[in-house]
Amino acid sequence: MTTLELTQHPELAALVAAVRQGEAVEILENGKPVVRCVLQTSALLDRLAALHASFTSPVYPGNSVVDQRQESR
Amino acid sequence: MTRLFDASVLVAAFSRESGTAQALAMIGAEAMPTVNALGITETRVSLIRKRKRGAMTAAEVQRALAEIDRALADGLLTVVAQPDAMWNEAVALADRVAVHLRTQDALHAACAKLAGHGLASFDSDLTAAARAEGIDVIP
Repeated sequence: MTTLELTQHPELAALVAAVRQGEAVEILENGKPVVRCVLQTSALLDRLAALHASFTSPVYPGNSVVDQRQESR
Repeated sequence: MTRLFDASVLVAAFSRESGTAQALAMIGAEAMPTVNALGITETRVSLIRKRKRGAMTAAEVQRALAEIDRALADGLLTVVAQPDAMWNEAVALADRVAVHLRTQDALHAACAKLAGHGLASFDSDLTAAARAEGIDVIP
């Protein structure tokens, strides 16, 4: 993996600032998209939304981890 | 501030519970949601427990576990190191706070404190102990 220090790349820093505000930045080559930059959490939330959409079991009424911890206290 | 997410938030995020929307909002507010190995293990075991109790199907739990693996592999969840000092700090912290902490709770709070991170948890006992230790807590 290649890593870049933002303070050494002002143009990249400006793009990252836009992504941090929630904007998706798409980089084109000859008019065709080759790279799409989105906030890490946006990608995670998109995956979680798809995961939840696949569930058919009823929503757990409460918090299962807290319930489990209370049982062992 | 970097914030450590415990299993009570992660399970709500990777399955469907009353607090799922709030868990997603907390994760969405972080630039890099952070977890530790203890929290990830507790999350995985808790999902398996939900399957055994009939709250989720086997296929749903498999998908949730796979999504956790994928999020970790892709760096969408950052894993914080658990320093050796965490073990003794957990004991000291459990002694200092008024709340009756379990071992896992004390370890979570100690991990956040030593790393200088905040904590995200739906567990009121854990958050009370963390606040008493000066750890920034949500919700």
